[in-house]
Amino acid sequence: MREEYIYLDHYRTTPLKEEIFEKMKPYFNEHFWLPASFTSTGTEISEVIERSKKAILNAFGLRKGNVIFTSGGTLANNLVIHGLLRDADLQHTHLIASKVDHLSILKPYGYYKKKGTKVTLLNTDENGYVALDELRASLTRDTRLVAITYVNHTIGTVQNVKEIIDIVKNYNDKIMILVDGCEAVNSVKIDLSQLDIDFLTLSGHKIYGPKGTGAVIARDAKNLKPVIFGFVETSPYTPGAENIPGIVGISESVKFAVENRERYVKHCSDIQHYLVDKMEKNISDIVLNGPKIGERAVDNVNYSIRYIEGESITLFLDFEDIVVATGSACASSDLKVNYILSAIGRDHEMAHGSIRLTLGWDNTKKQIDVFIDKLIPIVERLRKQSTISRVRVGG
Amino acid sequence: MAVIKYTDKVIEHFKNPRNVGEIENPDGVATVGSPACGDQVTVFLKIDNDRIKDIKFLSYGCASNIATGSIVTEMTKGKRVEEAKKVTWKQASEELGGLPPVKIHCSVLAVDGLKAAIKNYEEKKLGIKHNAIVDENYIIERLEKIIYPKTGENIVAAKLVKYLKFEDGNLTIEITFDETDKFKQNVLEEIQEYMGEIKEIRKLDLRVVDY
Repeated sequence: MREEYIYLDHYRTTPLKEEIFEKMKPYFNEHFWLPASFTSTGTEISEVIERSKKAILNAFGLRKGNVIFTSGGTLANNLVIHGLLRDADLQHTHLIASKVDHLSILKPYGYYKKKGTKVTLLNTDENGYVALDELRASLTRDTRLVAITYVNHTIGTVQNVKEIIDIVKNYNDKIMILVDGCEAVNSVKIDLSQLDIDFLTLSGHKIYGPKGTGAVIARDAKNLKPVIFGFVETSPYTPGAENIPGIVGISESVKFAVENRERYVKHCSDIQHYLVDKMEKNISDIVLNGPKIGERAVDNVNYSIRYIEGESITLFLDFEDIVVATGSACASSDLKVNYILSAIGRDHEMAHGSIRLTLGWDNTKKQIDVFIDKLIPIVERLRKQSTISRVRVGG
Repeated sequence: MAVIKYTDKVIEHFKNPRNVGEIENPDGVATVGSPACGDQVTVFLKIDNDRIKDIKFLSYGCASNIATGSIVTEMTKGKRVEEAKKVTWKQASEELGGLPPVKIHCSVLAVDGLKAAIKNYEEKKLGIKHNAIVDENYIIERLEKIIYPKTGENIVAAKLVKYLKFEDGNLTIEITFDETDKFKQNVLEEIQEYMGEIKEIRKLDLRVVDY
C-alpha cells in the first residue's frame, strides 16, 4: 500500500485522530499509574477516569448514569446481555433483536437460545428496517430485553429507535432496551435525555479513537450483574487494571464526534451524493442495497455490481491502492454470504458482487473521481470474462 | 486469524489470466457451479487428433477461481486428452505456489470444469457413455470432491463423514463438527448440492452428530 491510498472502509475501522492520540500519550508512560485512593498518583488517575465518564455522559445528554469501559463494542454488548441474564430464569426469559443486528448481539442470543431461552429475531423490510408489527406481536410477559443496532454496519439503515422504544416501553417499561450505537455516533444525534435507552454501547475505533476501547452507557446499572470476576479497582463489571490511555482516548473521540457531528454529516453527505451519482452514471447493472440516499446513514453506500464477484473487485481495487469491503462469500473467512444482505432478501448472486463503500473525514470528491476511473475498467474486464454477464448483458 | 494471502503467482494469473474467452463451435464445453450458490466456471475445448488444440474459460468467481482456471488451461493446452484428464486441483494449486485452505474450494471448481468439458467431448464426439453405477463407493467419490475449508482436505479425508448408507434410493450421511466450526453451514450446503446432482438419490438424510 502506498502512502497515498484511498480508504473507503471506515465502517471497518477509522484512523486514530492525532489530537486524540496526543491526549492519550501521557498515560502510557509519564503518568502510567492506576487509580487509587488518597495517594497523589492514584487520585490523579481516578479523576481522569471520572472526567472521562462525565464527558461521555454529557455528550449524550445525561447528567448522571454509569459508564463501563470495555475493550470494544463486542464486549460491551456481551456485558449487557450476560449481565442482565446472569440470574434470570432462562426458561421464562424472552429476548428480542432483529435479523440484521450485529453479531455481538446475535451470537450471545444464540447461546441463550441453546439454553432454552426464547429468542425472537424480527424480520426487516427490503431496506433493513425492523418490522414494527412483528415487534408489537412478539412482546410477552417474559420479554426481558430488546436489542437494536442503531445504524446497520452493512447497509447503513438508521433504525427508528424512538418508535421501537415507544412500542416496547408502552407495553412494559421494565423491558430493557440495548442500543448498539457503534456505527451511529459519528452521524446520528443520540440524546439520552429524550430517548429511553437503558444501555447504549460504543466502540472507540469506529469514531477516530483507539482500537481496543468501548463503553456501555447504563442509565441505571442496578439491573446489570457482573459476569467477569477479579480484583475490582473501579468498576465491578470490568475488574483488573484499567486501560487508562484507552479510557482517555474513547472519551476524547466521543467528544470529538458529537461536537463535530453536523460538520461530519455535511461532509459525508456531499461525498455520498457525489459517489452515488457517479456510480449510477458510469456503471451499468448495479443495485443499491439498503435505504435510498437521504434516508440511510450519510457515510454508507452499498452496491451489488451484477455478474461479477466481490473479492475480485476488492483485489483489483487493492492493486490500485483503494480499500473497500465486500459481502461476497468468497471473501469471508467462513465462506458464508453476508447475513444482512440475505436478511433483506438479496440472493446469493446479489451478495456475491456486493461492495460496501464507507466514508469518513479523509475522503474527498477527487478521491471519488479516481475511484470511479479505476472501477470502470475493473468491472468491464471482470464482466467480459464472467460466465453469466454474456447471457444477460447482451454482449 | 492466520495470515491468509495469495502467492505472487496466483496474483499474476488473476491479473493476467491466460486463455480467457469462448471458443466457437467447441468440441467439448461444460459449465460447473451455480451463481445461486457461489462461483461458476465454463470451459471450452477444441480437440484435434486427440490433443487439446485450444482451451478457453470464463469465470464468475474470485481470484483463486480465476487463477486456477488460468493455470489449468495453461497446463493442458497442447496435451493429449488422456493426460489432461489426470490433472488434479492439487497439481494446479502446486503450480500456483499453493492456495490457502479456505480457497481450495473455489479452485476445485475450475478443475471440475475441465473434467466436465472433456466428458462432454467424449460423449458428444466419441459417443462414450458415462453411466457410472451409483453405489456407496460412487457417493464417497463424490463426497471426496467437497473440500473442508479449514484444512484444505476433502471432507472424507478430514474424517468429518462418520457414517454413510445408500439403500433403495435413500441416502443417510452422518457428519460431525466441533461446536465452534464456522464452516459447518458451508459444508452442509455443499453436500446438499453435490448429492442433489445425483438423480439416483431420492431422499437425503443428512445428520449432524456428536462424536
